[in-house]
Amino acid sequence: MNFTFLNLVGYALLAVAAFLLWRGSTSLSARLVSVGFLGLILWGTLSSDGAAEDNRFRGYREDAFQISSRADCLGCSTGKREGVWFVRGTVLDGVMVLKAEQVVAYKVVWAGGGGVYLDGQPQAGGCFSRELAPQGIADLRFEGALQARLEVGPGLSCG
Amino acid sequence: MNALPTLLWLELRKSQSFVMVLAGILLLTAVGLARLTANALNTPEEEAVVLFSLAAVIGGTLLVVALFISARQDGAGLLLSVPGGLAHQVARFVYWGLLGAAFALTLALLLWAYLDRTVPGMPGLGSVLTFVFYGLGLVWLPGVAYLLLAFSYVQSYQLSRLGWLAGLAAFLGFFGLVDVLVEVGSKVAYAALPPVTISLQSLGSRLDDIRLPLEPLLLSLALAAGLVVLAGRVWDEVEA
Amino acid sequence: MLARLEAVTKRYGGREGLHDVSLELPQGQALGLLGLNGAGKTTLLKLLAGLLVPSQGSVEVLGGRPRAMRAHVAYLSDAETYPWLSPADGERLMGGLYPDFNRARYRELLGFLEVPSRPSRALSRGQKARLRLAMALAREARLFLLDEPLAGIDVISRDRILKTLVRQWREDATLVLSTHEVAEAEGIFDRAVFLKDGRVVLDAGAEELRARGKSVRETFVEVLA
Repeated sequence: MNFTFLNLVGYALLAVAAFLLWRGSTSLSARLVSVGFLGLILWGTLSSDGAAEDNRFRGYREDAFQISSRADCLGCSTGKREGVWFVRGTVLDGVMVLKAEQVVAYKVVWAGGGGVYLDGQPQAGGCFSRELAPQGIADLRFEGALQARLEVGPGLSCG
Repeated sequence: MNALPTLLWLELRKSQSFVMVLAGILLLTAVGLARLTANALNTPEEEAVVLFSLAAVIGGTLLVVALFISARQDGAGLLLSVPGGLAHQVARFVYWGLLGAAFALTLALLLWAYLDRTVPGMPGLGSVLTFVFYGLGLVWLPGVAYLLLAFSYVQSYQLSRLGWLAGLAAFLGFFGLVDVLVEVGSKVAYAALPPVTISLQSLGSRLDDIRLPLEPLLLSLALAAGLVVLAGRVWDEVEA
Repeated sequence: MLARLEAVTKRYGGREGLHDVSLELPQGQALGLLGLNGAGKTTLLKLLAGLLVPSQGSVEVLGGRPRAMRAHVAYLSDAETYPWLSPADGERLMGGLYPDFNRARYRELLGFLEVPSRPSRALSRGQKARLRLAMALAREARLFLLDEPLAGIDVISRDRILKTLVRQWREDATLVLSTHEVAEAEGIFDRAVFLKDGRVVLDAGAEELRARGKSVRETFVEVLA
């Protein structure tokens, strides 16, 4: 929750509206709907406060590879499990460039949406994997891919 | 007593002129599609899609306006009728849901019939209808339910002259609800159920199949049902 | 007792529409609700219909909450009806929404009230009022709440309609009819309730009114002045 002046004014207005709407109807259901609507407005305000940071994947770097990114990543999460680094999002949209420092394999999986392009070529089937030699580069473009995941690590394949 | 036929008839009578206008839009679209010709700037297929989009936007807006005007016509007159609020709201939901569906399906059918003749490998009608039904369930039905709730909700503040504030809350709350739906829907998408797949392979290998997740659709339908029930409760408690 | 208001106050924001009103409505009575514009007649009728909830006090109709008893209450508001609604549409609508709607009686009433078979938008104000009155009276309800039902109808017809309706009033139903045209209440109602600024200033039966030795109009001027 942010406490800038404008936000404080917004919260105060919401509180006044809640008071007026609670007293303005004899219908309990309408009063509860008011609470619901104001709660949704508050939710919208709060989630938009952090939206700019949450929805952007800015890249990642380790000894074996680095990823530079200008991709939007909705519902984003990243991490490393059993030596495999991953970024996954409910929606992935934008460009990521994977550059290998050592030999690495990577895999891209997605469930639907606008698709995924590797070095400008559209990929089909919902999954593909490749291996990069040292200094090799993969140019990945996600076009609103849904439930998409990029994994980088040893021994990755779609099988 | 089953009041549903009467209430559906009432909705039809109230919105008859709008139904005629919607039919006119469909007719104009059909005529427009039949007269499309190639020109220097666009292909006929591109123009067909533009025409379709225009008709969809105008028709959709008109449907929302018609629903609003139709609900306003009732005033307080129906509040004391014997069928309860739920019966009234269900009738409105069914009528406007079906009217929107009929409009969207006819429009989609017109576009498909045109593109099927001109685009090689156009997916079958079944795929197109699946896509339209998916959109109706995901967007139109919860939208209608939301409008019905918002209308009764605003009505319940008319007496205290706070209808404007209630209307504002309902309007702004809509965006919050969409946020929540996108957030929750994207979290549960593809999680448990197999997606509905619409194959685009016939169009060539450039396009991937469309896989529509079922979970957000079910979420939207459950939300629509909840909103209609809530709208019925508010109706029963409105002062006028 | 068919309906009862007990110490009812209704506030709209800071303004009081009705103040501490208590009334009992027995079965079979035809009650005239008299008062100037803004006296609280509509508020009282809406409270009995269940369209309003009292700010204080309680309202009971047929032993329950008014809104829950709506199947037995015919309420005629002073609002306009649908512009497209014809007498035939009225029958379809009322027949589908009210199980106690008597179609034969409705047709009789249309004849008695001389309602033309045209959509409402093509009717005069008085003809619209007659159509709405026919729709309300064709129900076999227990409580009829009519808010200025004769507004817009010419004076001669008003008198004829009112006298016929009230004299033939069913014994198993109660009528509450509001009007600010006091002359038409003369010698018609079993009881008259005079409202002023949301308060009952006189509640008198026909006998009591006669015993005062004044016309309803004179009483009206006296108590509401």
